[in-house]
Amino acid sequence: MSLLSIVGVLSSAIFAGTSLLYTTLGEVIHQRSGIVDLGLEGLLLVSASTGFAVTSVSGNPYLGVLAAMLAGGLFNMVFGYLVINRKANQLASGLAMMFFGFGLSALIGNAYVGAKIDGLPRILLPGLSDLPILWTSLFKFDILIYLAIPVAFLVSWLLFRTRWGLGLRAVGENMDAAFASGRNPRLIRYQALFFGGLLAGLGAAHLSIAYTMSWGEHMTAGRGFIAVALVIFSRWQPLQAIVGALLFSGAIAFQLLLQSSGVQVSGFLLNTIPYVLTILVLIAWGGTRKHAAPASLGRVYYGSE
Amino acid sequence: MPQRADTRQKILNVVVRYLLLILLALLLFGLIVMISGKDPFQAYKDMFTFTLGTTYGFSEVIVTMIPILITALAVAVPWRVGLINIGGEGQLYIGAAFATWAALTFQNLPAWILLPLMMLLGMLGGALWAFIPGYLRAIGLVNETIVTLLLNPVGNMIVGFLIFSFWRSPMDAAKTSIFVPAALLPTFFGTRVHLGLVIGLVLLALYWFVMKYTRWGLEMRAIGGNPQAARRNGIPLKGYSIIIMCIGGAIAGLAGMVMVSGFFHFLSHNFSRNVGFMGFLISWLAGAQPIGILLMSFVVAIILTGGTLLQLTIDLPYAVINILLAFTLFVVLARPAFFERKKA
Amino acid sequence: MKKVLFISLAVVLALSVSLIGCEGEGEPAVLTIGAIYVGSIDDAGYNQALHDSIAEIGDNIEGVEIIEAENVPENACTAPMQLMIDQGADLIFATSFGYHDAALALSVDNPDVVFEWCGGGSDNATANFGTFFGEPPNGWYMMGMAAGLMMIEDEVTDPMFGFVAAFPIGWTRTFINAFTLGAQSVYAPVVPNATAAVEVVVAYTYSWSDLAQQAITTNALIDQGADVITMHVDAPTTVIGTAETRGVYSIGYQSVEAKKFAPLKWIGGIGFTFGDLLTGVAQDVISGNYTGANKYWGWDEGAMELAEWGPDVTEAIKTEVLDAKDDLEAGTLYPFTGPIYDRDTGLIAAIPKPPVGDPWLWLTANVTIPEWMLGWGDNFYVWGVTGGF
Repeated sequence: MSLLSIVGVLSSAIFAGTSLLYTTLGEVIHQRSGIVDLGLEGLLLVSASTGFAVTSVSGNPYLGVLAAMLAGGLFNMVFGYLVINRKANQLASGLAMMFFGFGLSALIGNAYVGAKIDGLPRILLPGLSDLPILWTSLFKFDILIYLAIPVAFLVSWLLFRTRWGLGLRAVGENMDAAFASGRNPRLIRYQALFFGGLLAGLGAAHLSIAYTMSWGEHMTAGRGFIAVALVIFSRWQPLQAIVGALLFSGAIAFQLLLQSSGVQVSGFLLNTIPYVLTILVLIAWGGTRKHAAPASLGRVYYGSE
Repeated sequence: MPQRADTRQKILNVVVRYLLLILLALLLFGLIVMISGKDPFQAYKDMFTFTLGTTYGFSEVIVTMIPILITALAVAVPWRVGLINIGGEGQLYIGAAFATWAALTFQNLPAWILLPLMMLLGMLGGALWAFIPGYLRAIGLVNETIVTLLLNPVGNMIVGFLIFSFWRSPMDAAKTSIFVPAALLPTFFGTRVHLGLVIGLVLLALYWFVMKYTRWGLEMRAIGGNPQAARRNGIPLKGYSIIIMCIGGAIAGLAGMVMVSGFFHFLSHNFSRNVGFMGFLISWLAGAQPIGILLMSFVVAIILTGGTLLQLTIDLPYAVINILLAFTLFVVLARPAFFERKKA
Repeated sequence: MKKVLFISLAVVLALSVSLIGCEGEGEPAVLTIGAIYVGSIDDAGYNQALHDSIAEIGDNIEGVEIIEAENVPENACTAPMQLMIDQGADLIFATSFGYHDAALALSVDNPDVVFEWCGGGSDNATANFGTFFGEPPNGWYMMGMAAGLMMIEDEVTDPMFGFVAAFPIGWTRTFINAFTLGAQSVYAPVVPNATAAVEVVVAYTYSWSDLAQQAITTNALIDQGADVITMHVDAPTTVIGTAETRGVYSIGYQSVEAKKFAPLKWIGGIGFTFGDLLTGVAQDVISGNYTGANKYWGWDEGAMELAEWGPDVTEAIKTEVLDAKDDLEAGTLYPFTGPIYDRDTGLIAAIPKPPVGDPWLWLTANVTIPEWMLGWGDNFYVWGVTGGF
């Protein structure tokens, strides 16, 4: 185990954790407004396939990123119609959206399987250009990686320092009170879904356009559910989501390091860590206070019509 | 008997509305098929003649329906007391793993001992997996919804671990060896329809009977309706939560056993492919009503089976059928007024 | 209420009439071929290689109709195959390793339909069930040589090759072993307890198609110091592409099309090219001369080909590998000629050729494998392989 490989774990964790972080931030916003989105897996797939297809056609990865974001936002509007306008159950609607995403992404991406794209360009961290190529390739990040942590701070600021965030959290805590104080819970929830969808779409874009540079059916392989777990793990706090995403992707990278250096570990058992850890954390908090979950999470706003 | 006629009218009403909704879903999906440059009429013709018009197709629909039906019941039972079990997927994997252990360990037992043993173990496995969220909920620590959800992937990963460690098959592929004949559920009529169908229907009938005619059913409905009042009436809520969750898990575990023993004949990683989630959706859409569960799982099975055909006849990726599935779910979800009777 | 009922019935009726109205009428085909794939047929990998081969049958024989189904999970392949039979398929290609049992079972129920399974290690050929495969171990041996020679060319003192693989199955281990032996054959003679000259590090992703996991695995191997990356997963896109962005050499497998993902650091690759051979099978089916066999088509028969070489590969390297190719085809060179050292037991394993013995012998005795069982898989790694469990 060389120094390179240990630094490599960090680099891998950053690369793999970025899409998770964006997705988790998106879900934080959803849940802060009181909506549980289990359709995240479907959203990621649709965004990833759209972004990849647009990049492949236009040759411009930035256009692809924009398309992926937009696809995420629009995809969530369908979800919004179900759970906000039609007052459908959120869990069931989310799972239905997941199946919708499976199908839609297969349709969108079908023509682009095996296509070659030029991914997001990678820019070296300043001041490191004297290092050997193997080292510099570790610190060559794309723009979405550089933006990930600032975006987390931005989301935190939006949620906790702006009127909009205050309104959003108010809706998530108590819809009737929010309505009484002159807010429109439906509109705010739509905004939350759209904005969260954009962020999750950004995560999917990083996955297909920057990180793997390919599209394949079901390529997200459960990362939507990991994000849902990470939201709870990070107590609905955007800044803690940074830790959660890094911890999780770091564990995977570390497991691979162990595996390839000849230490016998089961990848399957190690992959259970984020889920088990989240449950343990829930148990630990459960005894003290109601672990900071938005109070009206999962509730339908019936409102006064 | 005016009242009887009234009920019939009501049932007819519901059936017609269901049909209209499904028609709407078919129309929407037809549009998508058309946009992708294929012939929707051809698609539907192929789908329905195959699934409803051929013996083989119909038998495949039934085969697809079995695990969905059972996992839907695994969700419906806890739902009746207000518990949300979204962990059918994980419970199914653990149940299948327990059953597989028996199938691989006691290869010399006769079928009439081995199969019941596998069923029992499958139920035990599922129940254990559901005990965790049930217990955590009962002592008021953590909401069962989130724990069942989080335990889903863990169940699948444990199966993966077992397959690649203790249960490596001599064929050395990513699955266990094929079960001995005694560990396979018998099939009927020369098709792949297996005893799981009977298990599913018996469970469904049992569910209907218990809910409607027994004290348990009454108590469960009381808890589901108003837990505070139920507690005041001396119904032990904590015990109920745990037991009901475990029963739900046991049913899901049985579904897992039925899948490996009746359908796959081996255990593999990722074998379920979201059957547990489909069960959740169906139970929810049917409002946990027995007839609704049966009908919805039949409809979903038609869609999924028909999808296998679509990629052959009109050259659309198999996964595209998920769009039709989703549309069907959407139109039902978007009209919650039909299922208003018991709104949480 | 009655109105609603009436309208809906009318709509259903109209729909069903219009459905019946569009009965299709086509010309009868000489031969209808059904093919199922575990992934996408455009994946630039295994499935595309098989798809291209089967499509060649259509080009070679007039009037052949091909029905295809992509992304068919290994544990749900019976229904699509049965459907193909219902549509009149005379010949079915079950192209994934895990389709074996289902295809074999269907062949018993459908004696008029011929089933061809792509994979090695089955001895179940019947009148209407056959298997076919190439000789990937020979190709892997050549790729190992190419990688080793590149290291000499670049004067790398302690070369390490990263092998991204999906599952620890027998085939994969055989490929890893052949690759390692090929590299060792050119780089330095290897004896136990000496410092390894060539190290092949294996990491598994536990999925044929989890692209993100492939990316992180490739990166992890490169961080460990891998000088060359190669892979045994379904689609090469992510692994080869990631190696390219990290500026590391790569070697492709499955389809010869993989080079486009690494225009600069590509060394070479091997891919399946079954087209002509499968055309022969189809002709046998048409003429009624088909008999099932377990076919291991050699390099000389054209079952596999080398991909284009990468830009950094010198003429000398190409010549040396191509010479070895001639020897492998002629049978004068054999990848598993001993002495081979099991990395765990240190035992010498000379794998006999031609085949002898009980097919399951390798399960009990750790080291003796009849040659034809190689495809079924080694259960050990040769000395020089790290990781991989």
